Amino acid sequence: MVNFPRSEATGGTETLLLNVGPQHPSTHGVLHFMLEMAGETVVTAKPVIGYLHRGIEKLAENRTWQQVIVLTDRQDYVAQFSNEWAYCRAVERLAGIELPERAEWLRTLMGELNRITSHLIWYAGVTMDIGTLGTPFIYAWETRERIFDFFEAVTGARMMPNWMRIGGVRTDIDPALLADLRTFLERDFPKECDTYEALLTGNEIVVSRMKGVGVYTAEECVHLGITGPFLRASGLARDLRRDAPYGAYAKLDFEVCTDPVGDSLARCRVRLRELRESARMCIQLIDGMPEGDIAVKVPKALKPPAGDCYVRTESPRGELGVFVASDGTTRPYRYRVRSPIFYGLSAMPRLLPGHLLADMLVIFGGIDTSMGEIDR
Amino acid sequence: MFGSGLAKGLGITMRRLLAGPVTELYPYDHKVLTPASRTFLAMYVNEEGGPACKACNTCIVGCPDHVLRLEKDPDDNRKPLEFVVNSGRCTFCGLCVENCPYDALHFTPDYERATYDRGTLIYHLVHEGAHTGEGDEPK
Amino acid sequence: MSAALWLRTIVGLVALLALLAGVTLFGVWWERKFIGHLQRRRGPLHHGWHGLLQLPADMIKMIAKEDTVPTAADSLLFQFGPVAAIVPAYAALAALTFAPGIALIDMQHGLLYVFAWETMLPLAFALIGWSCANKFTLIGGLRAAAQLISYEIPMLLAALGVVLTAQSMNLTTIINAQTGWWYVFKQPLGFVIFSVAMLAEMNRSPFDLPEAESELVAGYMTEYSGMKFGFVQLAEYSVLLVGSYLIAALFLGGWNMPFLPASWLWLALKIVLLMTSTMWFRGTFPRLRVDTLTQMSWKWLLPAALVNIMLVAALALWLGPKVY
Repeated sequence: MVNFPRSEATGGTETLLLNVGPQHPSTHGVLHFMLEMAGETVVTAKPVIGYLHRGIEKLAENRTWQQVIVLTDRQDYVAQFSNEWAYCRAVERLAGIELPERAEWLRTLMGELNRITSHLIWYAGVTMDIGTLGTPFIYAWETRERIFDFFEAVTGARMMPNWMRIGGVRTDIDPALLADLRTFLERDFPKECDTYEALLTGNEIVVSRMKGVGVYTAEECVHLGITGPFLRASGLARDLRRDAPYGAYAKLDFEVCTDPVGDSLARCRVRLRELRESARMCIQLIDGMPEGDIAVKVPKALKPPAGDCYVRTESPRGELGVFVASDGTTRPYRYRVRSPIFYGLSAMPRLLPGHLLADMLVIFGGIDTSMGEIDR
Repeated sequence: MFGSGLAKGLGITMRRLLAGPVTELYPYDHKVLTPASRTFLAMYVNEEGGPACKACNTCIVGCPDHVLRLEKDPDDNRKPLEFVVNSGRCTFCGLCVENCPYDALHFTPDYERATYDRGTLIYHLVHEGAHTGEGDEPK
Repeated sequence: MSAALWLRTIVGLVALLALLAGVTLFGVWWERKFIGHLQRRRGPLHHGWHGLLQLPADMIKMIAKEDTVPTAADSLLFQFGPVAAIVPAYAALAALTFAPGIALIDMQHGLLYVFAWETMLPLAFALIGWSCANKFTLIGGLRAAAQLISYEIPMLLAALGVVLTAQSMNLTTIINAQTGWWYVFKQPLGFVIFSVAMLAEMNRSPFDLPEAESELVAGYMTEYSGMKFGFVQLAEYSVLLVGSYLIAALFLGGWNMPFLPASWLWLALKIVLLMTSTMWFRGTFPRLRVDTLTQMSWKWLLPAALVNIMLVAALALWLGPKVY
């Protein structure tokens, strides 16, 4: 039989060691939680990561600079374009490549659409975690499929676009496709957002489960290096798209969505507002899309000068940093990723104790993890 | 009022039910992929009806997953004797098609090649005239 | 007992088993279809007309499956669990009156009998949860026990209002008392309390905590496979049937329909509609948290049920049994 450890936290009675995952319906990938529980209350929580480790950082050292883009797609399979973009920006800065205006705008458009699909996956996941039978899940999937059809028409693949290139992008976007997308984003998407809000933050059961659960202050977030919607939901308006603009963000009019409360419900509200905000940015991008080249000519055997650089971007999960070092050859000397949600996950041992098992899923689902990005 | 959100949610789901399903009936309806779709590799034929490949090795150098294998004709350095695609290893990144200086490679619109035998995923694009597939007209 | 009585009992039992199996098969199919369409999918399509034969096929699969017992499980209790679940669920059906005179036994205290069997189920679920030696089933089983016991009290008190007005515990009498106004119009508060508590008794969303799939994998039935799982499912659907029947019989007039002749069809229609609405809730709502769940029962439903019963009693005294 199982031996249960005794804990002082429960007055000396036995606690229950519950292994949630790595194969569990709601650990989003293969995360393993070791929960020490007193009844249904979590006493200590320990996330165990590494089940999805594919060694992408090491693999990158054996590939040419262009081939690494294929790996970045798979790094965070929910926010593919953001990862490609971060990597390409790093290499471009290292090699001193200037991008044509249109390439920047196209990248920004795809990055924002990707933010929408990524947030939709978060929405789908969190609604499943709180126990709906997948109905809001499928509704989010519908919209995501619509955007993925656009991705497929542009890049040739739905999930793994491999579309951005060092020095630009691979294919141009057909104006007819852009017009279609604009109609969708302007006419149908806000209605979909209304639906999402009604089924999540508008539902009394959800509010009763999320309000005041997993409160984390901005100060604590900053101490752990948490960024992105998690931090913004704690009231700190930090967004690299506004604070250190890249791409075409400097020319866009958008609002940084924040919420002062810092609980799970606030994190939901921030992400749902970001959905609308991203759609608004996409419409601006489609309207203001400049003409011109989509890429500059870059040699196939690219050899950036020896040196290193670190580039920060705002991925859907927060601050995605990419460090690349070159020794002047055709392959990276070192490729390192600062995965934003790894820092969010490291808040779990502090956030979970004292909460119920059901709250654990709300908190964990609410921070929008992607194990592919954490383990790499 | 408590319960209005619940009622609204019920209304939303019922409206969606009445709007009808949106799924495709896959085995009966085949989705037509967009021209940009990256699926299985095929090779164009040249004017003489032979393979368009010039055996330059660029695709093999550019492939991140060692999917491709090329055997040159010993008599003609610019003619492939065999061009093998191990699709089981392929991640469909499209770098080979992008890198080809002669535009000899392209993707087929066909995507239904699921199989029980890994060996059948190895395609010989030049050997035995296997390169002729759908849309293999000369470019 | 006479031979005729024996024959009647056996035929009745077989008919009830057929009814239970039929309701389960139809229920699972209808649930898949209905929730599928809620999610803008089509649900089962391939076997038979719109996937109707999918369920018989599933049953064959369940029967043919290997009967696994976890090594650490308490083997005896593990084997006994599905029996403990199916027996009360099946026995409760005996007293249900489906049309005037159509019941296995039209018991004097039929309602009490049904409730008595239904209250055996939490015991079975807790037993199952304990015997598997799995932490998820343990939590699920204990949750089931806590939930079902908490909600039984408001449910019984709400039903008591009806018994008070109808002045009988016999289901036929209760239904026949509703030829005029249904009790849902006379005791709306009681109806709401009874429905909510019944939803919790049925383990249906938003009260599906014992088998919360996103938290506890499959709750107390995680370790079961094959026909044992089938038996637990059968018990679940039996509770769904009995619960829908009780709501229809106690509050929605049973086989009565205004301006139309009484018929068992109305009862069947009401049961199907009630089952469909539980599926509708299941497809829309997230589940409650365990502390909110029990608080709702003890802090809201129980006082409301007490108020309801006093109100009903006062009105019955004041207006007299003929009017109210």
